[in-house]
Amino acid sequence: MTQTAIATEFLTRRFGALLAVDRINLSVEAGQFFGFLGPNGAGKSTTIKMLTGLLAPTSGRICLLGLDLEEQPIEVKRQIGVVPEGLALFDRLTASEYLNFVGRMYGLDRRTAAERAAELLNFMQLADRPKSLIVDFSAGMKKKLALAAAVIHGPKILFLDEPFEGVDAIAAGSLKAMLHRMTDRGATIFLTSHVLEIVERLCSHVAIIHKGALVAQGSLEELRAGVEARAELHAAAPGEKLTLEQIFLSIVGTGAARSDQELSWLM
Amino acid sequence: MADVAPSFGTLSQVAIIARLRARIFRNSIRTTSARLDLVAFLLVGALVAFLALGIGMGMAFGAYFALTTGKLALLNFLFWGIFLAWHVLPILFASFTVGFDFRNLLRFPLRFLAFYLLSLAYSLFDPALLSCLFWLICLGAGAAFARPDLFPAILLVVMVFAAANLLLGRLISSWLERLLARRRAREALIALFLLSMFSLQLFGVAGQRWGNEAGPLRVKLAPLLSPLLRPFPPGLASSSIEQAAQGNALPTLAPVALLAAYGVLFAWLLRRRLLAQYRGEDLSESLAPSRPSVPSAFRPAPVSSASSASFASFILPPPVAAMFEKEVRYILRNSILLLTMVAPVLFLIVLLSAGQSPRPGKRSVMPITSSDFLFPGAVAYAVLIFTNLLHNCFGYAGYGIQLLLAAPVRFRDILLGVNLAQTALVLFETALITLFYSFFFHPPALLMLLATLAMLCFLLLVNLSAGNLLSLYRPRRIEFGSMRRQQASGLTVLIGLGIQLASLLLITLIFLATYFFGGTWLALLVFLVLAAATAQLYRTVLDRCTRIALDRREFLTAEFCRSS
Repeated sequence: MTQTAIATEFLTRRFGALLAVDRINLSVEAGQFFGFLGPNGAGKSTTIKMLTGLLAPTSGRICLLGLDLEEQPIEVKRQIGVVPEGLALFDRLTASEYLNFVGRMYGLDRRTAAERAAELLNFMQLADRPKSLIVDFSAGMKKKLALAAAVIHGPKILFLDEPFEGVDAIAAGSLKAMLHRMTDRGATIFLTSHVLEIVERLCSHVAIIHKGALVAQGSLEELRAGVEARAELHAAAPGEKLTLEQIFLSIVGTGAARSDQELSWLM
Repeated sequence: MADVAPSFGTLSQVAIIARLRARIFRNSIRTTSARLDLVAFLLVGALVAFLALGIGMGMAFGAYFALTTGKLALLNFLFWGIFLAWHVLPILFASFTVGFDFRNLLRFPLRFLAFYLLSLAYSLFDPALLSCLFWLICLGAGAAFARPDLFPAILLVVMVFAAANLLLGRLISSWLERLLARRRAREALIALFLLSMFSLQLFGVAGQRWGNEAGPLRVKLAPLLSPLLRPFPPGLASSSIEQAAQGNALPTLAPVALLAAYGVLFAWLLRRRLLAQYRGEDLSESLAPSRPSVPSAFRPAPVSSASSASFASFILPPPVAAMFEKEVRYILRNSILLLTMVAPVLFLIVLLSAGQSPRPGKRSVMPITSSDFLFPGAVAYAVLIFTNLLHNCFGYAGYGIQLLLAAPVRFRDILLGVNLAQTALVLFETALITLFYSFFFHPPALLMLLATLAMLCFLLLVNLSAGNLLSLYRPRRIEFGSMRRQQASGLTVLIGLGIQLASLLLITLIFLATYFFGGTWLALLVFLVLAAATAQLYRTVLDRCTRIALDRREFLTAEFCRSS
């Protein structure tokens, strides 16, 4: 029997008059590679912040691995890893010092933290600058380090906000392989990305948020079938499947219908 | 065919950017917290303005006195004072002012002339520079009041001197911007700058101590130095007024012309510097990789030195120890903070030297001149200089605050780790002070040492309790190695000042009471009672911090994760 890794009930967040997240009911099974999509300002990062305890919901409930986040925050946080928007680095530490620090903050003993840190630095190809401070790293290196820090304690759920932004193709390949290995072993990965090709290639299940509301949720096949049935949108050639981009645009709308009339002064 | 943006004049471009600055200011005070900071800033600004007004009156009186009594050499001194203040104060107060990198505007089709003018105009908005300009006007007014017949000459000199200084000031700051663009250079330069500031303070104290002995030397050096200082802008400005006062028309114009030539030279050098910026000079941090990388496949990552067990990890719970070690690393990498540690020791050495051999004919009237009270005074000063750090625990955390909020650790433990590192820093400073005190004077009496340690406990616990609350309620992100934004928020500074004043007043009263009514044992007793009470307060505050941090996580994330 599969366990529900992430479940929300009427999750809502207001910022003054703005309703950023509107009564979302998410359900993600353990072991799923889950893509969370939406246009800019749809509420993706707000949702991830609430799911990881960085932001309090206005109302609603969050359960991770069967534990209520509000009631047992420490227990829940122990089992999740997160790469938040803007990363969460202490940039005056070296990569190794930072990973050791994170490992110990997540309850690893000193020796285990050090061993895992060394292993992760090798894997992420960050081991060749042992004395460099993080502040001197490139954006891609910082991203890889943040990913390493998010997995050092072996989390059961991993939340990734735009994880491949700025990461080179070689490292991205290794990272994707690592993430797949994690899901094969039962970990759940909750990922947001604007690069729909990446989501399509990696994720088995997808949810789409638009203007704060959850407008679609399910496996890629379910979403594809839903769109085809509802909008009578079909792939260009027989035998081809609708791409995630086509599904996404069909659900949230392109907003470009009037583009012929607008911005006529542009070349 | 599409139209391209029409070109428009330099003045229009300057006006647009002036409106942009006004809009940025208005937007920056939309929140209540920003408005409170503005109020605190205005209060401090009023005090500074009062001080500036006083100095301005001094300048006016000095110039009046010089011209009415014929002691014209005094003008040289006044012009040099303004000149040095003009170029040192803006750097000194840069950490209090809001930064705005107008090089960002270069993405727009801005004319070079507009860029040049904006660059100059921007520097005029600096309060320190405005003060200097005010002092210069006061000097001119004082001189003109004394000799109304010299008004045209004085006006000319003041205007040319102001223009030359404005250009030189902007030239210096644009070079500083370039040097400070690299982290290592920036930190080294700031360290050097702070050291020079401490040295200046030290000169002041040393001057008081050895001023009499240095008197004859000063008398000998003054005539030698005076001609050497004349060819520089302040010397030229004072020369022209001196010549005008003596009724020499041509010699009046010659120094003004030279002063104007300086202005032209500065303008040309500034043009070169700004042209480099205008053409897209890259000042990015990432230009300076520490060394070429070697493919890590061939180089296994060593198990970090961080893995070696530390003393902290044996006695502290793992997250507290991790936080403590991280804070210690941050402190050791903070050159500005480390330099701050020099100040109490320097002051102690100078004050002790002064106390050992008082000036002939001078008698000490306050107990503070007694060497016994210098020791607790220096220790209290050590806590005082770390106020910014103690009252803004997460100032350097930046985006790392998200990790602290997402980690499965109670915020109480996080703060405990930070506080222990801060305590270690203050204790190290206290040990340094004790060492220097013992070396330069004599070891403090045991009872005084114990009373001072009890006082330190009380003072530290008060500041840690207040600091933990202020760090959650009024935090401020601070940039490592940046001249700007080095202060905690305005309100935190005001509250911190109030706490320090109240606790220092209490400490002084206790020591004075023991001085007049009993032995040091009484101070020890009182401080032990106070330390015990504040320990309980600290514990209560610490226990509540987990809840407060949880309630304020959104605010904390917003403050620390905004782009600087």
